[in-house]
Amino acid sequence: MLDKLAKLHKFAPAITFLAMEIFALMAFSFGDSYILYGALSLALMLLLVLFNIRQIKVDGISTIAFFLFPLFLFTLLVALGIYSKAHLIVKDFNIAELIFVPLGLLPIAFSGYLVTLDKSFKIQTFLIVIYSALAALTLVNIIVNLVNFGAFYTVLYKGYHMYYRGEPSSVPIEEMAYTLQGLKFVEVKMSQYVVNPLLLLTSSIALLFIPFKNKKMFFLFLGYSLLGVIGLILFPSMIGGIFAIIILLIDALIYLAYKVKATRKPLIIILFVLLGLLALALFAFILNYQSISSGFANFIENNSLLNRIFNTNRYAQKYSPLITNIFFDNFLGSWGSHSAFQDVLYQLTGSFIFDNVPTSGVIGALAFIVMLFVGFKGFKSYLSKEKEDSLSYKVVLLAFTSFFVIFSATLFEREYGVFNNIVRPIYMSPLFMIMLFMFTYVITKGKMSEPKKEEQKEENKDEQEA
Amino acid sequence: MNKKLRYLLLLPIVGVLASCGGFSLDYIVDGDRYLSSDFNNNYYTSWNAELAESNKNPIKTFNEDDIYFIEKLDDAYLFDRNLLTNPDAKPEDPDYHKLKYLDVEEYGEVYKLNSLSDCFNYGVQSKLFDGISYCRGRYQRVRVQTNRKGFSVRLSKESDALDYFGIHFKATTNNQIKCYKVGSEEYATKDTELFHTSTFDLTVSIYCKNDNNEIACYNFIKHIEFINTTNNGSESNYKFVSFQLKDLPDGTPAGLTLRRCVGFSVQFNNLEDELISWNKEKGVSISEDDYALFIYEVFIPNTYWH
Repeated sequence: MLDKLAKLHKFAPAITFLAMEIFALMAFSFGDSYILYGALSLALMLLLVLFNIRQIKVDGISTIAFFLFPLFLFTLLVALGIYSKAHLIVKDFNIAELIFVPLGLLPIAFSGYLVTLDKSFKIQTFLIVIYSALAALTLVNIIVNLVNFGAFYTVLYKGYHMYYRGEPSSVPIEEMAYTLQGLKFVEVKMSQYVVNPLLLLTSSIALLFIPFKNKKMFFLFLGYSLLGVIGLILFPSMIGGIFAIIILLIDALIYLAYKVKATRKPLIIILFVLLGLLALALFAFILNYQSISSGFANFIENNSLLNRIFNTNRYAQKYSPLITNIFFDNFLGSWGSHSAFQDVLYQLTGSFIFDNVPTSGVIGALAFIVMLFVGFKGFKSYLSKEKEDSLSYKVVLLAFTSFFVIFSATLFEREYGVFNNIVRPIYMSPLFMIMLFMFTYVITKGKMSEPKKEEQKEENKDEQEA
Repeated sequence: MNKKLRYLLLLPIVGVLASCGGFSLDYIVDGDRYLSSDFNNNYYTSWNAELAESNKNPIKTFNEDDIYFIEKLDDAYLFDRNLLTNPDAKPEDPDYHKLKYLDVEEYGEVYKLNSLSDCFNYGVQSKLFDGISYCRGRYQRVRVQTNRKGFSVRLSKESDALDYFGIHFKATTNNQIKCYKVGSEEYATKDTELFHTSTFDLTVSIYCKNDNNEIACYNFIKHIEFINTTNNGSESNYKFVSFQLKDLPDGTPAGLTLRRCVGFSVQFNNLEDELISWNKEKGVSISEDDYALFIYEVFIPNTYWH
């Protein structure tokens, strides 16, 4: 039976082509229909397994096990009924819908390993497909915003609100834009609009720092980056500007870390220091809101800068009820059961770090972070493997995933429709699915063994004798 | 020209052309305009350029001699059997004119235009299509306040055959002005003391496209007499007027069916207001701009929009 299936391997390129089609559909975010993507992911994985069955090795699967396990834990906790009610923060998902979270995310992640078994899969083609779909969507969104609002409307009509159903919009016009959702254009928050142009901009690392050697690739991605820049400039926003700078910083840091080895350790130290400061800030945040030490709370309130950071900005006001609920009101309950959150009404923070907690518990949220950590760690081996893929493609993958994680940790709005109740948590986002695929691909490629030195010498000797 | 250059130039051209739209800019409003606690800041007198032009030369004007007006929802069943619990009932049946809907509020909730298409949900005018026919403490949020200048609404869809349409509104004066109570030598100190009646000609215009796609204006004028003019939200102070274009109850053909309606406008003139007249006598000048109509709902039932 296996021998018969092994014969199918010669048709594996057709499945790889199908995979590219599916990735294009995901990157185009056609309607954000995660059930469709979940079903396609599952089908793709099954086909890849079928057509590459002889090539699948236990070693290969074990390389991504450390990534798949926390992902499995997270998706299982999301899907289980005990957490589903917490989703009704904005929409009441039921178990039939949530079951596609593990059924969709795990297969697409596993597919990142499976595609490496077929030599016809080229990372170059994958990147072209993803960025082309993003570019197409961005172009469509640019045109529809020009048609409906005109260029620079975020500046010209700052402070204006759009009337809908007799009420002015909850956000001013400079914080909203039109995007294509399925077959119609809907008004969404600006944070949703800027994602696509910013993702296009992530390819700038392979234009400015570690350029593509292939001229065609260079100019193609130059076009994509410029389209992203146009999409940001025509409708200027604070979010777009800040994250464009962040992307350039990511590019510079990646370049620095790769090119100047001496900077790697200091950069890692700086990263851990920043994370430490963040943890300290979180601790201070909790203390302040609980007024455990009223002297501490008074100190913060009396200092204008600290007061702005911890008390009076809209992000602090979003985070505090959730943090309070996790750490104080329902400390025990929040780890293993979400029942703590059933009656809690609070505003979503827009950060997956916090918003995953009510939907999968603290354990699930931690598993999610562990998964990301394992994913990024995979880049270390991948970048050092000179024979696997060109460096430019590697750094584009790293820039894409880095940006997406940073953006999702701060501004990933689950409810991003202005007038329509469009709900899409991060685990139902097609871009997140693409990122999972990238991670497992990177981890697999990074672990692929290079020939041992003795074997390499013998090969060279054979070549010379020949 | 070089092929690549041609393709490159296409993008900015598309961008420039696309930028000439601004279709959604009609629906945006600066700040708290139309929601202010200042009465004078809430007047909606926006006119679409096409409709304004058409309004200057109406094709036809209809008044009460030409078509039928219904001033109570209870009587509307004469033209719309769908309003009845038993549309097939005969005149001798006891439930012949038993209405499905208790009042304008229920009627509005069923026949609201925004349930037909999302195009009725945009702009300040969306307040007229949301099915909310009474104030109920929601004030500026649920009504369009207009003065003698009136306003127009240009719709992005066209209707099919249009047999009747209605409007639910209230008349009021600015309760922030200092003036005499009607028939009194004393100044009014509270809202209720400003109660009086007024008379005016209400003009509702319907704009339809003709075979040449030009917009034609049809005026429908209803003389409104001694309407309660007050800020008070009691249901008796509201006015329902329905303009019936179909055959009259006695069988007389009205001979009018409008098609391809793309908008409407509301205006009033020939105002005779007790409060203004009385205060004028007393030497207190009240501007006619301190008089307003609060339009709560516009009904255009039983037609398709495409």
